[in-house]
Amino acid sequence: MSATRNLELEARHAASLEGPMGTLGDPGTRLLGGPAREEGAESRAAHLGRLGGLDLESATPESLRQLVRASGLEGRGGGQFPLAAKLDLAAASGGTPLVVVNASEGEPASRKDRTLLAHRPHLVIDGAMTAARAVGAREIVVYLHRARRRSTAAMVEAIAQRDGDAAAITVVDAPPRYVAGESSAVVGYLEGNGALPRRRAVPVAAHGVHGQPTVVSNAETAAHLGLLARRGAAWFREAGDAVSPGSTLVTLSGAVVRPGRVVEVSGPATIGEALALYGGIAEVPRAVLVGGYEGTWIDGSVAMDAPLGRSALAACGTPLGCGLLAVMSPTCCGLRTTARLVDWLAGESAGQCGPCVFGLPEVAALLDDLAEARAGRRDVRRLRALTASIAGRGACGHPTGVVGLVDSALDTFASDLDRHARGRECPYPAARFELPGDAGATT
Amino acid sequence: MTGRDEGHDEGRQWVLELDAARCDGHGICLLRFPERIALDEWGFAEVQREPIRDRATLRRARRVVDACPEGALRLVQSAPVGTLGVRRAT
Repeated sequence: MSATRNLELEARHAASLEGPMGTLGDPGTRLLGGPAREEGAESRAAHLGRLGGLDLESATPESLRQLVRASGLEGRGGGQFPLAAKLDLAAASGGTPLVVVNASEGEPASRKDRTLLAHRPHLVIDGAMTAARAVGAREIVVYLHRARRRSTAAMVEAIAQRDGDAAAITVVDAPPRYVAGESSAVVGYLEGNGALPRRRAVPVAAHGVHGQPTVVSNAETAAHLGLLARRGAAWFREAGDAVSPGSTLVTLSGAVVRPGRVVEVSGPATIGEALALYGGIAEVPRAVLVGGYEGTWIDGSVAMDAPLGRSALAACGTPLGCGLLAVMSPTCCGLRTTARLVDWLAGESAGQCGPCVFGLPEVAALLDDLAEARAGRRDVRRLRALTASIAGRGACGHPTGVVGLVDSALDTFASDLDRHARGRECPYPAARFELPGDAGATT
Repeated sequence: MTGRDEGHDEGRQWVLELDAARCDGHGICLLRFPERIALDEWGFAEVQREPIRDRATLRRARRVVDACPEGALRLVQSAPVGTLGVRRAT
């Protein structure tokens, strides 16, 4: 990707109000449209002035669920689960439903959810109110990390500005653990137990907090719903594609000019275009980590031309997940980077299931041995066998996600693996690690 | 699943399911139902999730569910989300 191409892209983008991408305050964006980053949180008055009011009382719950069904809106937390299925299940289950906005954003490099809370809190609340109306809930919980002061303060302030809303909002501080954002862990925590993922015979949307239907949806999903309720399903489908409609937020991280920058993608674009335009990437990177720390590594040259869309990436077996694109520069060792990620992830296990408790530390140790050239070919075979035996096991997706990352690293960084397994010297600086490693990072 | 017969309901099949968070590796399930259960290298159960089609196997599955000291196994009906028609028990 040359500098000239970069400029061309910038010119093309500036010329179009409906460019395929944008960041906070850019015209043509949806969730990020409105005031620029420097202006902080959008006030209730500014929010209403820009988007107009949201009349939920005159809409029936059925019509709202029909709207979500027609929109095809999929969850943006990682699972891409259709929101309509959750709402329909909750509405059909009787009882006293609860709506939870999951803004815990446990992915260490992701910034999209806290960005929405910090800058567009009323849009997130509008979405939560819409979901509450659609299932007949009178209570909403916003599940976030209090330690992220800016986003928490903006949300708390926004809640104080709401009056006349049909549902009451409670803010709950999430434990700083990677797995605490998993929906069954959220439900467990709200019941007064630990934030531990549990295998559930019945989805939490039907049988969640204290047996009541519980709609747990990601903060970005809620924000989309806040706009969808105003503008309709046909408008919503103008962005994205038929399989995964709507725009999507992406966090650029790693070896980019401004790690943590959040970009909204609404039209056809490649990963390379996003990295050039907003990441300052002028040369092909070594690799890109797609979807989160339990996502997949893609070779840099492949990634540059890959379409940046939820359905396209999912079809390639490299789902966009929480929206993370983390860049590794050409002078970094993929094996060492992955070893460090896996060491951290193994420590984030909830400690409940055998394959996770016993398997992940062994995976981490083997990767570390390979990274430090203390292991050979036989250990690579052992590592492959281990990941195969752990995949699909456990009460939640954590062990499967970790070994998925490892498998993608073994494929993508075959040259590093070969060098390390033969005991040859690694040409890259040992200490170089370009990703945020702290789940409790404050913003 | 109480109050239901062990037979097949219309259009639904029973699946033996493991709650891995409860499994403590006692291994009794392997002795009782080796055709569907294996233990991994650390001694924890791995369960084949193929639907159970015949009554004799279903009876054996029912017994292995009862035999697990941790209550980690259960029989569930496989049906896509949204078609369960689930109602709260209370």
